[in-house]
Amino acid sequence: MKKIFTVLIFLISILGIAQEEKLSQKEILLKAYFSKDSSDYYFQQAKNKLFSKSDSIHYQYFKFFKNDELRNKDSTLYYAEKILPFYLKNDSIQNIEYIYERLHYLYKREGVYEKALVYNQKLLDLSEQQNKLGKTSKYLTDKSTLNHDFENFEEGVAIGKDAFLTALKTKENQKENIIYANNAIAINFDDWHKPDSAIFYHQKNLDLIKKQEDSLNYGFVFNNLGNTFLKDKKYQEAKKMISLALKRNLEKGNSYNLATNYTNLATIAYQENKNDLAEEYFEEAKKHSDLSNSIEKIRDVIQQEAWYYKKTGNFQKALELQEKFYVLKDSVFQEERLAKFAELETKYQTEKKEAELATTRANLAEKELDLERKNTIIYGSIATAFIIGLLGYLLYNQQKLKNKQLHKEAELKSALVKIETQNKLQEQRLRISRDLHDNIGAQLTFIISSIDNLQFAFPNMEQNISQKLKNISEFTSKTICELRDTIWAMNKEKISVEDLQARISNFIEKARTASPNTVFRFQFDSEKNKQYEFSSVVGMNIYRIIQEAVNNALKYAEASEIKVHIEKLQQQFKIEIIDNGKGFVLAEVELGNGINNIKERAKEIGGEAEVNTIMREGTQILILLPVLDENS
Amino acid sequence: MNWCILFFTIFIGFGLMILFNKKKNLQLTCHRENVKKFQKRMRVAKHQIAKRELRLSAYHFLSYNLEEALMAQENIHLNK
Repeated sequence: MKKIFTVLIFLISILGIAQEEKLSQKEILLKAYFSKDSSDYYFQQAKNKLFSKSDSIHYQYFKFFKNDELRNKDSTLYYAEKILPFYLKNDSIQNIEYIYERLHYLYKREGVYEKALVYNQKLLDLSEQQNKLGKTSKYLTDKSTLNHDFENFEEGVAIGKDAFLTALKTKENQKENIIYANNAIAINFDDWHKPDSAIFYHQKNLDLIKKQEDSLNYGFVFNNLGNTFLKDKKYQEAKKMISLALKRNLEKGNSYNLATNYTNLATIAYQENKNDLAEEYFEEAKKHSDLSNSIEKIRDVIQQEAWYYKKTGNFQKALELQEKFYVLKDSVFQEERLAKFAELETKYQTEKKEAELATTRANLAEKELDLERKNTIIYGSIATAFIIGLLGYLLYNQQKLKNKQLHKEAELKSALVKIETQNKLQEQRLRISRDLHDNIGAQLTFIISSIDNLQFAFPNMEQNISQKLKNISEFTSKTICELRDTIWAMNKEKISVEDLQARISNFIEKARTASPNTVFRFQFDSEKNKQYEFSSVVGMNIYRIIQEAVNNALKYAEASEIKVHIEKLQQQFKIEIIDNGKGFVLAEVELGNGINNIKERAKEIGGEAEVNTIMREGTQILILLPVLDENS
Repeated sequence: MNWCILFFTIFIGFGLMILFNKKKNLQLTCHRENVKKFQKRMRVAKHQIAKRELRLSAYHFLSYNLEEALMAQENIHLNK
C-alpha cells in the first residue's frame, strides 16, 4: 500500500513538472516577443526546450512575429514559409489569418503591392468563408488603401464604399471599420484631385471621432484632412490638423504616421518659407520613415525634399533626390508589376464572379432540389392518395358485395325459415288433426255403434225414445263429418273454384240419385272465375251452406225443382239456393238448426244470409260474400 | 425518385387488386355454397309441403278418406 502511494506521488510530481515545463516554454516565448533587449536570450531559452514538432512550430511562430516586428523582411518570410504549411494542414484558421495579415502589411510596406494584394485576397476569402463581416470590411478597407497606393483611385473609392456598406451590416467593430472605410474613400478622392469629396468623408470621420472617447488611434484622420488642406494650399488649416495628428501619433509612437505628419509639416514650412523649420521636419520625417521601413513613406519624404531643394535653389541636391525618388517610384510602378497588379485584380474579379456564379448555381441547384423535393412530396402525396383511394374503393366494393351477398343470404334464410316453419307448423297441425281424427272420431263412431246396438237389442222400446236415439245417432254422424271437414280445413290452405264446383256438383249428383223426382239445376261458371281461390274454411262453409239448404228443400219443402246458382259480382260472391216448394212463414215457423246454421256459417266467413220465402211458391236463400282480394 | 414512386404505386396498386380479387373470389365461393345450402333446404321444405298438399287434396268431402290425407311425414323432425 505504501509502495503504491509512493509511486502515485512520483507520477503526479512528474506530470506537474511536465506541465510546468510546457507552461514555462510558452512564458519564455511571450517574454521573447515582448522583450526589447533580451529577446534573443529568451528565444535561445525557448529553443532549448523544444521537445515536439508542435513546440518547434510554436517557436517559429513567435520568431515570425518578432522578425516582422523588427522589420526583418527575409527572416519574417523564412519563418512564414516554415510555419504556414503546418497551419494550413491543421486548418488553424486563426493562425493562418494572423500570418496572412502580417505578410499583407509587410508587402505593402515594401511597396510590393501585387503580393500584398494576394494576401489581402486570401484574408478576404477567409473572412467571407467564416462570414465575419467586420473582418471583411477591414480587409476591403486595406484593399482600397492598396489601390490608393497603386494609384487606382477610382477602384479604391469603389472598394472603400463596399467596405463601408459591409461595416454597416455588422455590429462587430462597426465604428472603427466605418472610420477606416471613410478614411480610405477620402484619401482616394484626395489623390484623385477631388478635395471636396475627400473633405466630406474626412468630416464624417471627425464627427464620429468626436463621439469617440479614445481618439488616439485616429490620428491619421487629422493628418489626412490636413494633407487635403495642404494640397488645397490652405496651410493654416492644414497645420492645425496635422499638429493634432502629430500630438496623437507621438503619444502612440507610430513611426509610419509620424513620417507622414513630419513630411506634411515640412511641406507647409517650406511653402511658408520657414526653411530651417522645414529641414528640421524633414530630418524627423526621414528618421520615422526609415523606422517604419515603408517605401511609400521614404518615397514621399524624398519627393518633398527634392521639391524643397528645388525651391531653395539647390538644384544639384534636388536632382539627386528626384532621381532617388524615380528609382523608388519605378520599383513600385514597373510595367510588369502594373500588369501583375491588374492581372491579380482581374483574377480577383473573375474569382469573385465565379464565386457569385457558383453561389447562383448552388442557389439554383438548391432551388431545383427544393423543387424536386416538393415534386416528390406532391407525387408521393398523389401516390398515397391514389393508393388510399384504391384501397377505399376496393374495401367499399368488397363491403358492397358482402352486403349484397349477406342481404341475399338473409332473404333466402328468411324465406327458408318461413317455409320451414310453415312446413313444421303444417306437420304439427297434421299430427294434432290425426290425433283428433283417431281419438275423437273413434269415440264418436263408438257412440253411433252403441246407439245402433241399443236399438237392435231393444226393438220394442218406446217410439219417442227410439226416435231420440236415432236423432242422437244422426247428430253424431254429422259431428263426425263436420269434425273431419274441420280437420281437413285446418290443414288445407286453399280450395280452388274448380275444386269447389266439382265437390258441389258431386253432392248434387248424389242428391239427384237419392231424389229422382226432383230437378236439380247448378249454375256456376268456374271457367270465368277459375283464377279465384277460397280459403279452405270459406270453401268448406259455402259447401256446407249449399248442402244444408238443399237438404232442407228436399226434406221440408217438397220441391220439384232446386236451383243452385253461384255468381261473382263486382265486389261480392252471390250464392242462391232457390226451390219451388211450399214455402213457409218466417214469423210462424220456428227456425230450426238448419236456417240458423246457414246464417251462422255465413256470418263466420264475413258474409250475409237472407231467407226469402213465399207460401206455395218457394224459398230463396241468398248468401252474399265479400271478395277480399283477387285470390279470396 | 419520381419513377420509383410511380413504380411503387403501380406495384402496390396491382398487389392490392390481386389481393382483393382473391378475397372476393373466396367470398363469392363461400356465398355460393351458402346459397346452395339454403336453396337445397328450401327445395326439401317445398317438396314436403307439396307432398302434404297433394295428400290433403285427395280428401273427399263425401268419401271422408281423411285417414290417408292425414299421413304425417316421418322425416320432419318437429323438435328441431
